[in-house]
Amino acid sequence: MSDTITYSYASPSALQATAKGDELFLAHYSEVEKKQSPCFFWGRLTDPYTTARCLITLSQVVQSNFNLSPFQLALLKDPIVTAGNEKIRFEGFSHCAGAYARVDVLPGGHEGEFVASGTTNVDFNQPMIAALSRIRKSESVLLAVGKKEVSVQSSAGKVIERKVPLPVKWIKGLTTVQLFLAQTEEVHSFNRIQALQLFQTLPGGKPKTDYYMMVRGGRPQFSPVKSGAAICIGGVHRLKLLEPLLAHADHLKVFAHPAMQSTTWQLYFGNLRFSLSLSRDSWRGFSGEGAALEDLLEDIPQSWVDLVDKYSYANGAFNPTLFAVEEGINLQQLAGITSRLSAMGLLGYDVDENSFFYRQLPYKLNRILSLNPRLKDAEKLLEENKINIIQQTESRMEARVEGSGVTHMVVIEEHQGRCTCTWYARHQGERGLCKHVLAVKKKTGY
Amino acid sequence: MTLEEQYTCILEKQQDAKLIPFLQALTPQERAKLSPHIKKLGKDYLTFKQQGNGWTTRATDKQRNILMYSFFACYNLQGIRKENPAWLLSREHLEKFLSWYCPAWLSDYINSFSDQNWLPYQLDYGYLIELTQRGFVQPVPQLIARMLVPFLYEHKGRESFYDPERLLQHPVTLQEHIWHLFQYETTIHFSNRYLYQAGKQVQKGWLDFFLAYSGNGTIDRLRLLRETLMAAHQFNKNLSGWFAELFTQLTPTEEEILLLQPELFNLFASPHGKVISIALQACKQVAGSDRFDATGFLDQAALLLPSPAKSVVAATLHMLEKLTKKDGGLRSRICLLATGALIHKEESLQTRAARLIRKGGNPQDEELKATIRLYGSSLFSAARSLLEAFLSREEEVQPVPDRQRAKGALTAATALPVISNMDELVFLSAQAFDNNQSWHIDLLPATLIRLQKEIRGEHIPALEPAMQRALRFYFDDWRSNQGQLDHLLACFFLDYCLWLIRQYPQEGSTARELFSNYFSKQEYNKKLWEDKGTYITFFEGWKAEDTRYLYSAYRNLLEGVLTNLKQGIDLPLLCTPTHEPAWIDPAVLVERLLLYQQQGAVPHDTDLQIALSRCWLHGTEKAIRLAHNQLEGESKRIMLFLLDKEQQPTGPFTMEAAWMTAALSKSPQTSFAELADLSYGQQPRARYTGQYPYQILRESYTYTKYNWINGKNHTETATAQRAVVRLDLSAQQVKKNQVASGLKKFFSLLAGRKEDSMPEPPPLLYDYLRSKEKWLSSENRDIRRLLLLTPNHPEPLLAFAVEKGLCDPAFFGETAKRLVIRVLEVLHETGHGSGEMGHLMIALCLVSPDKTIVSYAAEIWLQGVEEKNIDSRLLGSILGRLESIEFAPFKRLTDLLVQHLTGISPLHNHALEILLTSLLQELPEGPLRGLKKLLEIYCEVLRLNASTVKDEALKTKLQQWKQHSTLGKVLKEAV
Repeated sequence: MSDTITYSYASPSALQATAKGDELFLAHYSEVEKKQSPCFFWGRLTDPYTTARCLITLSQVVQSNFNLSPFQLALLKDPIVTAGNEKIRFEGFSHCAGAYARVDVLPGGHEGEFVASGTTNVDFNQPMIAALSRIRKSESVLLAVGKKEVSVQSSAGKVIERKVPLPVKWIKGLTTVQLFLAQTEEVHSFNRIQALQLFQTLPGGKPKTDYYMMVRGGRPQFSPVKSGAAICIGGVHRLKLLEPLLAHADHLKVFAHPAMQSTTWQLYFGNLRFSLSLSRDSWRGFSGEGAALEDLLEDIPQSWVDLVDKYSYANGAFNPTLFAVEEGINLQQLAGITSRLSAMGLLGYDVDENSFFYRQLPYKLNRILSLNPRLKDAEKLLEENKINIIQQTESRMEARVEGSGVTHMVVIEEHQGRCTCTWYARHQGERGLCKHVLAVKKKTGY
Repeated sequence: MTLEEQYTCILEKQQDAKLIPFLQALTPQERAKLSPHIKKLGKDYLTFKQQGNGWTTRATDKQRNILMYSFFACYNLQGIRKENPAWLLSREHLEKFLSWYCPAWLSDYINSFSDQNWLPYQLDYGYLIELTQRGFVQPVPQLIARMLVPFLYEHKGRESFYDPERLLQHPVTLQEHIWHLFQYETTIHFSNRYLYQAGKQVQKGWLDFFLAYSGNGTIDRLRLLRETLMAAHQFNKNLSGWFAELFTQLTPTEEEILLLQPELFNLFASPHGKVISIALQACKQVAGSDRFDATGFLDQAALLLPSPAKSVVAATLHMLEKLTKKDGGLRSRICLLATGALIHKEESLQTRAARLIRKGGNPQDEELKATIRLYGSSLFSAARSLLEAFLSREEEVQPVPDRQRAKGALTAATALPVISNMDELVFLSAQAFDNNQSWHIDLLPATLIRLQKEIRGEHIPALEPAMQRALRFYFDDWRSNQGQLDHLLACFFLDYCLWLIRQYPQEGSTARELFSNYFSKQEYNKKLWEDKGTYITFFEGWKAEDTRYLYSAYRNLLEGVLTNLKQGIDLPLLCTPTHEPAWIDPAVLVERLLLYQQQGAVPHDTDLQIALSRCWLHGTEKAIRLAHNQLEGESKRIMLFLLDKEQQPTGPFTMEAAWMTAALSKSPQTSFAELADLSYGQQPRARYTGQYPYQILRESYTYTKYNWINGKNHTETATAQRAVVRLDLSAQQVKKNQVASGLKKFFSLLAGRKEDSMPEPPPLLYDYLRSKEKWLSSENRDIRRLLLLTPNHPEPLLAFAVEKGLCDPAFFGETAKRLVIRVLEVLHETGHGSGEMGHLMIALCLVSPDKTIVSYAAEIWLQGVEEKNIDSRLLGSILGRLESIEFAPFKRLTDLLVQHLTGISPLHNHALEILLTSLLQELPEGPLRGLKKLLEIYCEVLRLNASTVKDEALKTKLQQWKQHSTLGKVLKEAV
């Protein structure tokens, strides 16, 4: 499998002025498209001004970088868009994969035709993003995800190709962030004034310490001081990405992971939503969290993946029970299927609707499955027969796993695995299971 | 002769005249066939190789030209991009080919520069247009825009000249290309920055060009204005600002502005303040016109009022005032909009918005009232009184703080785990050196003592991962959060493991192998291992930069534990905390002492001192009863003295260190007469209380000044003043009469005794809480654990933090900053630090340049006011002294007061009044810069508390300030 990916666009995305107003044309590309869909959506935006601002913010998230990895603007990854079920969703990650943003154009946010449904990369070039800021409030803007007229596409002639290193962080992040989102719960809802008050207390610079969001005297605020019911946010400066949108928003909802491993900040603008999810800290991308590892332990039959693909439609809520009933699959077999499918890049999660929705990432499945080194290491341990089960009862599993130079002790109690290795010692399970626990789980199915 | 041979011959013999005819004679297929050979020769001739002291290529200039021409004629786009012969793009070179050959990739190659951060200087805009007209190139607009920018200037040698006539050479330039400058990012805003004419920077540039040519009608002025406004919205701060400046310089007429209203309103969403200000100025110019689109303006004005720039908010309010006067029908909408300005904690803005609302708003308008109510708690009293009709009575109630921390009893939620089996010990030891929890360093030795009788040879393999981690750590695999104490703990653990291996040689064979592997990596260590084997010791030779002081308490403690483990003594450690962060339940401490009493054992001195320092001193009734009934002798007397507030020390005092520690834990500021005769009485008391004398002063210092004159660097010594806090730490030294001098000193040094020896006997825990090191190293990773040795009395270490991190207005570096933050975290958790040193530290943190530190300090003050363990008068006085020497700008303090400390609750408002009164008393009579804002806040606090100035001296000072032109208005009501 190549370690680069080539975005191949029929023509660049652009905001074009036409006699009937502006047309925002988004060029698309997917390496798993079954048939060449010339166009996914074609129609008017009901609030083009706010949509444009949301897309600009999304592009700013994609261009941002909050850790120390070398930042190469030229190698930026393009966001992906999912069109279908009367919704258009744009998703993207920061370069460091620690900030995930999504723009949801909901029913009522557009008046148009979903020519085809599916998920694809869209070209986000700088001139197009710059031109978006020209869109005015009263303007009429047409959005086209792909060219509607096939003849136009063929006459365009030249294919725009951009080779970028395989966006490993993106793919891993996209599969992992959904699992965090699925566990988050709404903790606060603020109107615009409260949201503005809250962001007034956002500290300047790039604080290295954790910040906590709390409500004091009826006013929300950020503080570096820990307090009981506060939400913990590492790398709080990443929230500045939301600032340009606050004054436009109707309200803001804050969702938090129970163990404060991620927070989601969702802004509502009528039929539009913008959400920004932050990882536990600015130097920790969603990609490295390993939350999906456990879900990838069990292999899913390819036939199921094909069935999900066949029966689900882009942006449609995924209902595992209905899926099982229709396909005559044992419900017990389906336990945890949503998280497994999500870890394979087949599902996204909508915190507002509290449900998974179907969208197949526009990357080959074997790419997605080949990206987890810890899982590969666990499989290697199994291949080399380095696991020795000491005790296996209903409530407890104890094993010895050969490590480098020493033998590690693995104990799994109430589905919680512990290990004496460095990874576990350092992170205490917060960043996914270590390869030793994964190997024991895979061997015993415990 | 093959083609390859012919080509090689041309290259080797440098026959450049023969090259073009040779290439010209080749068919396209032959050129393609020849390219691998050219590539091979190119690599050979053009690769840089070291020669003597420099790097050079094999190729001569002629050979380089031959190769580059060959690349041009024979390569495809991929090959040419790799070689990137940008210098070929000049007229001189290209014209040698274009008459007979133009590669298919030429246009793509030239266009590839459009998004690179440099342009080939050989190819200018004029030649690009010529190539376009001849059909060789189809340039993209972005490239045209970038190439057009430098074309405004003519270059002759090093001289550059502003020459706008050049832009008139091609009609397409002004008709079409000029507009690309407004759509693509270019360097138009600094196009003349590096251009010089007669030694001076070229003054004229694109701004002058646009002004001149739009003025004479060559450029469509209205289109220029429109494009300028659109461009001002889409680029970075500098480029957008340049376009905004161009718009201003073009001085648009009212008519033009009215035609450009949509574009102007669109600028309000810009992230750049300058752009917004210029758009607002233009709007202001036409606000009175009937054709002004007030609705369009109001649609966008909501974006302006939350702006952090005061000038933008003020200008917007001004516009709203104008529009209210002009169109009465818009009043309710404008009033609703104006509430947006109430979000700012700036009295002038709030008052201005409140006036507008009061004048035009309907007090019966429920939507307006509901919106104003949302700002209720953050309104200044002036704005509040203006908006009285819109605020119902219940909104006037001050918000109640919803602080979670309860300084209650020790609860199950804060209880620390008790490790009771081998599995748990294995997992604890695997992470004990990671500094995951501050109490791991206490829990591991305590658990080893508790489980020592269960630990057998068969358990050694389970401890191997922990041994491996400790060994790795010891041999320099430090992580960013590991401190000296973790290293010390790792050494302690390794020594214990070696002892275990010696006890169980058979079961410990793999562990011994593990040690051997690590020692065999270096020759020196290998020999050491061969000589000593498992009798090697990590702990005894342990050294840190500050071994003698900061880390000695833990070192002594672990040394005692190691001895007990080796001797099989299983009496529990007294100092193991029972609750977060490091408290010991007093009843548990009494029970632990009882075990010692029952076995007739004497507690380890350091262990007992740490235990007494960590004892929770609230709700001690049960522990007092237990001590009364069960304990005997001196232990009983010490515990009763510590736990019972009314109890005084009762002799005889044989455990001097324990008595002294108990007294400092119980009441650090009290000097108990009964303990005056202890040997510690000879030492300065500040050494134990941490209340070192200090000065807040401006001092002179000298520095080296560098001057660059006539191409030479001149250094001279200059004097300047700086504001500092100086601590007098002489009390940390042992008193002179204890130190031998002269010959005695010489002999005592020969005998191995150090000058600064500890008092005899025994050293007090507080003797260790100081540092001799000048610079900080990894103390920030250990300071939490060091502070939690004495959570009841952290002041001696606070002096250390003040001296190392806060004495200067700016931080020396991140280490100092982190140290201070860690200290504040502990103070916030334990709620202690109520001596003057603690107050000095909080005051310095309140005016710190670091926002995290300021927020922490503010939170500690808020908490201290609620729990009545902070002296706002003392804090205000220190802040006043700091501000009088301008240790920190007033604005930092006033921002803090407005954002964090005002309007929290009536209790806090009263404490704030005390603090500010005390602060103002310390200020000099001449008003300092920024005093006005502070006085505004003081008056606001007085109004909130319905209070007046009571102190006569302060009244007089305020009267004096009132005479000052800028302060009179503020103080009108106060005095």
